[in-house]
Amino acid sequence: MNKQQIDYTQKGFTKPKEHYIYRVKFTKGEEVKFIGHLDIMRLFQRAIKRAKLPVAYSQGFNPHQLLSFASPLTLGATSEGEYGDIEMAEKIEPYIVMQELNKILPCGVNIEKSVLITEKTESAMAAIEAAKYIVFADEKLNKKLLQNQIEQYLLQKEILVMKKTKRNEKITDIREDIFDMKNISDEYGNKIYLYLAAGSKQNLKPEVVMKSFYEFLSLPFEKYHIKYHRVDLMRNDINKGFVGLGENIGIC
Amino acid sequence: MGYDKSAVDTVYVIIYYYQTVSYYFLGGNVMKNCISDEILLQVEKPARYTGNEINMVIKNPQKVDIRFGFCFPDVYEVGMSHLGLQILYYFLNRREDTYCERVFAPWIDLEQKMREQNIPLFSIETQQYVKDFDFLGFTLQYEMSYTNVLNMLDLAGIPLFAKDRTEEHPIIICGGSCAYNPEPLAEFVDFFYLGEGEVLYDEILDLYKQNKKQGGTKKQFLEKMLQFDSIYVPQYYDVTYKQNGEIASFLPNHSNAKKILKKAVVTDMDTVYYPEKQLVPLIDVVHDRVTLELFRGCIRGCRFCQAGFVYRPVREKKTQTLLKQAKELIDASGHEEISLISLSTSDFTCFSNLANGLLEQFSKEKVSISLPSLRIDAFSLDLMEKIQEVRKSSLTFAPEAGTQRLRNVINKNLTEEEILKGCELAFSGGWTRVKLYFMIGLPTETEQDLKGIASLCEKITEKYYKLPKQQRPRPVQVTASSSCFVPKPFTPFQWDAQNTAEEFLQKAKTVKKEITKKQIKYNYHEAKLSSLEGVIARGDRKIAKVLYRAWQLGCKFDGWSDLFQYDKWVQAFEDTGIDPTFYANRERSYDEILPWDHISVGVSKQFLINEREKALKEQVTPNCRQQCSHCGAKCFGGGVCYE
Repeated sequence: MNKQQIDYTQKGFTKPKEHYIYRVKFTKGEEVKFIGHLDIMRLFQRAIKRAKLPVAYSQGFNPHQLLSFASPLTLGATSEGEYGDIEMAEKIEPYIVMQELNKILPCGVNIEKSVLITEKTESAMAAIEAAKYIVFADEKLNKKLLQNQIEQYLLQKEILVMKKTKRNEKITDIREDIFDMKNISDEYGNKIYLYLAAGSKQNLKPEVVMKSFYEFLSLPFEKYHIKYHRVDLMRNDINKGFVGLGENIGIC
Repeated sequence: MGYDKSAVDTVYVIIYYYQTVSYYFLGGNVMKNCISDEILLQVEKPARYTGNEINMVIKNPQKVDIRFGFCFPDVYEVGMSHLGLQILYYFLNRREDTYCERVFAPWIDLEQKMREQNIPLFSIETQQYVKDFDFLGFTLQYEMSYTNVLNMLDLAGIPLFAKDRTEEHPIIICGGSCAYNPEPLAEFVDFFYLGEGEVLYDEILDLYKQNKKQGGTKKQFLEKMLQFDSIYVPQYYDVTYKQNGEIASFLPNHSNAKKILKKAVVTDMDTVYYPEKQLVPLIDVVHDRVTLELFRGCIRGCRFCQAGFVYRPVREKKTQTLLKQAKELIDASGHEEISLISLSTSDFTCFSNLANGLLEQFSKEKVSISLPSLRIDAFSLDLMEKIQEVRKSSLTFAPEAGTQRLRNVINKNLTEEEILKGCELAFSGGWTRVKLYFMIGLPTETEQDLKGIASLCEKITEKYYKLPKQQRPRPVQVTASSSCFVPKPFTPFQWDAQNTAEEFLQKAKTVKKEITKKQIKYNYHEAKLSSLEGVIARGDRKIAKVLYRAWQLGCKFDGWSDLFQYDKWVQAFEDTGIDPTFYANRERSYDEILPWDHISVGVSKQFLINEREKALKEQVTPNCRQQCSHCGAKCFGGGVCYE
């Protein structure tokens, strides 16, 4: 192994005055699609520890690593646009974070990008405004009619669905939360591209859209036949509009 | 080294995604999924079945000679917490010619889907069908998992009885602590491995490979197994019974079969193989931490404890070895907790050196150290203050019996004074909750002993209220739990009658009635399960019929209280005409042939008889370090017997 051994442990773990927060963009592949949000967090905690990265710990009786991960993904869905913020106790090159973690993360989890962000940057979780998905639909959809059907679906003034809240269910109009929807089917199967509102203000799950779309087409919706893949999580940049969570925020 | 992604045979599915103008590689390692996503999405915790854990061994199954399924007859989270699995997994996989994969009992929701869709039992690593493997090795950790062994074989599509299997089926092995009485499973298993796995598996696998190359049959291979002292091949032994059901004779029917088999023991714990890494599950499991084994065996000799006799002699690792292994394991896993395990951790001779060494090594790395099975004295409390992220939640003692008389009977070397002193220290150190473990139904037990449980609890609460008021932040809470005593083979109580479920219940009520203080809580265990455990633990070959019938009736996961179906077991006994009281509730005479008499764990029968006689006279036996009592374990040529 040609890994450069740096003994960060000597430097101690007291919270530094400056905060070195690294935003990583990572994949969640087929091999780990059944690993839930909390378990992915723990997987990262252990990987960071094994990589001996100089992670920052919280103060107190039960110190824990300062990590925060963005929007949980439905169990069973894959993604190439997951984000997490990792705080380090000292400044290191962003590519080191990516390189060292990729050496040891399990198959299916791969860091694609790592940037050092400023303290003022909104956390990954708070910054989310939208999400892009590819939906692998089943054979009940007719490839030839699909584009037209989607257009008809989007032409509706309102799209009402039953949305579950913590306490009860209520009827909600989701039309405004669908930013885009396209037929991207190919010879491998029926595929739909979805661009939806996401985050703390408005959040629309792709399953909800697909269920309503199937109902619109009067087709039976069998939820276990449909697969979801997240392409990216987006934030709203003052200058550039919607961009990926990891874009235009680096300070180095 | 470690987890090498490039070693995976990968097939990439390329998806062109038009907006981000990038090719995305979806998926990596394409496994032969025999379980579809559609099924996995409908079962609880699908990650139980998908593997890909950190440090999982990946090999090309086509490039090995031997495929070995390490089968744990319980659910993933339980099996993954088992140290034996972690050791043998890497031990077998260190051989280039062998691929050892893990196999667990699917939870009932997946089993239902598998049966509906005819999906046979599969391994975790490659998700391939285990019926095509060379070996399936089951570890027997508790009797109540035996129906799961049968159920797993059936799910795999393998005939349950050894006699019905052919060359095309894997060889079924059983090992683990319950294998010391192999008889209840004898008809289902090709051979039992008695003792510690590191000793013989290399030789066994070499012989298997050789036999396979020469075109030898399974029978020829099993005959070769007869050369080993620690391999029991049940088909080469015949049992006859007396009119009254006792064993009349137990004899080899093959000239090479040994009359007495002897367990295999590692003599040097410092040089024996120990993996430098551990599988790190991606989901929460029962014990989610690195486990460091300090020593095997126990010096104490508590008379009810099977582990205390079958793992003799005590064999320790050197502190240096342990510190090195601890560092390797933490480095390779990233775990935040390391657990020091053994049968009685405070008996480790260099315990304070080890503890200080680990403290030094890990305090900076934010790794906490956990110490199960610790005796509570001033030293260990001081240590606990230092090393644990002290939550001062509760301390656990195991007095096992309520009076000193009964503690002497069972040779539990813990005096009331020590318990009270320990509690006093704990209370003044800030602990306010104490848990106490007892057993009911011990030999010679009287009403006085049962009431003693209550009075010991009361004395403990009194200790707390003797503290100055400012040192008592909240009311004290004492929780006493009692389990039902199950006489086990290879203990001095192997001849004793077990109480019936009704007697257990009556005794628990006696204790309950005595407990009046609201600071004391009392819980007692399910007596029916213990009764059944009592039957199987000392069962003979006839018990196979009951196990088979119970499995047919749908019994599985019997150790899970919500799935335990006592009425089905009752029916199984009725249907097979087997009387459970013959096994559980009958006192045996010393000259009766016991079903496990053809097996030696080193401890002689005469020693067990002496111990039982001393128990009846309420005499204690010193521990192995105080004085050798000549139990017989010296024959293994190592450990405490030669210190």
